[in-house]
Amino acid sequence: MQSSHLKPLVTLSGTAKNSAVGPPLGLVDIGVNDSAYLIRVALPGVRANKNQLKCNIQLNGRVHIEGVITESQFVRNSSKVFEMKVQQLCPPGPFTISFNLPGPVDPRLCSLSFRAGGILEVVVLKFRIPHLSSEGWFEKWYDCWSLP
Amino acid sequence: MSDSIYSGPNPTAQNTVKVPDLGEPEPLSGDQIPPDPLLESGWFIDANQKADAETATQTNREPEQEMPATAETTTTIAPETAVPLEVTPISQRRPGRPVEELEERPNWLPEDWKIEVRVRTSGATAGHADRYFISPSGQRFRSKVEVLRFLETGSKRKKNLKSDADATPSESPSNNKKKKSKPNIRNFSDLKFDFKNPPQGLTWVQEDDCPDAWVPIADNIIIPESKKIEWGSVFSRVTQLDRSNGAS
Repeated sequence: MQSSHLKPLVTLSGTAKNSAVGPPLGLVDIGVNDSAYLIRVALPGVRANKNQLKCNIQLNGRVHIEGVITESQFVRNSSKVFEMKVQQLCPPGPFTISFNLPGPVDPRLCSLSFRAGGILEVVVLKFRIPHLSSEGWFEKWYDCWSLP
Repeated sequence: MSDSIYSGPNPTAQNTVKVPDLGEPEPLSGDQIPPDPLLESGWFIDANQKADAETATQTNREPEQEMPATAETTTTIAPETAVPLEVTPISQRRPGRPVEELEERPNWLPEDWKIEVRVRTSGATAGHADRYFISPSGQRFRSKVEVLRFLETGSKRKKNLKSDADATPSESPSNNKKKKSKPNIRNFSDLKFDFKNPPQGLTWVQEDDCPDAWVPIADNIIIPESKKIEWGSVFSRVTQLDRSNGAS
């Protein structure tokens, strides 16, 4: 019960859907600690081109990742066309990856990184409200499991 | 039997009360007497100056510092420049710091200060030479640290050894620092961030080829850079806070 809660269903669409075999696009790790969720998504073949990788994070914990798999640079840079004999990688084109985090998050409080290794990493803080003393000092967090 | 008998002190309790009397002079063990900030390595309170308790303390600590191998041979070297002090016979001096060397004027000492070298006359470290620095106004200091502190702050620590022993000066400043820096993260009064009302959703778009440059967009409108920076600082603040909470 709990483990199924912690392992959210990941939905792939676009070219990500076609990569059932081989080093797949959109393998997801989700980690959790007291304050945040850590997301790691395998995005092989995704180039960090301007405005091509998007990560939509919703208060309710829903995450959509959108991107484009670029063509092989050998195809792109020449007039030659290759007929694919074996195709295990995701074919070029747009894709989305969607999944739910185990709880609500604050979409403003996140840190994203997409490095050369082809792994997108996101840390997003849980939706929590600090309880403050009358002088404005932090005392404790209230987890917000039910959305306002 | 009445209740009062039971509630009264029982024989065992009375026995334990006596134990301290039977026990030997534990009170002077190193743990119970914090290092005296005024008495730094190698310094000694003259036994002639009557303060018995302090002398005992000092001799107690002395072995770990330096103790002349033998304190018996008595040669007489009168420190000529030594100002108003008793001329004392000294026993074997620590080879590293002869009186002559101690009398040399260090370059950090202001011109109008005087140096006084005293040689211990008794105790396990008899013969050890101690150097004092005398300010123009006649105040006496035992170490470079004290002098520099005085030059910097213009105040001298109270001579009251007991209260000084309670609050070791080297500790208090760092304690204050800790107290200062720790609550800083916890003080949320300067945060205008509205924790209670996050947006329903945000799209973070990678801006350039830089792996960490992401722009938040809400309803197709780019969030101003200033907001993004504010969120970033809240993010790191909360992360830091949780880390410190986890550690404690």
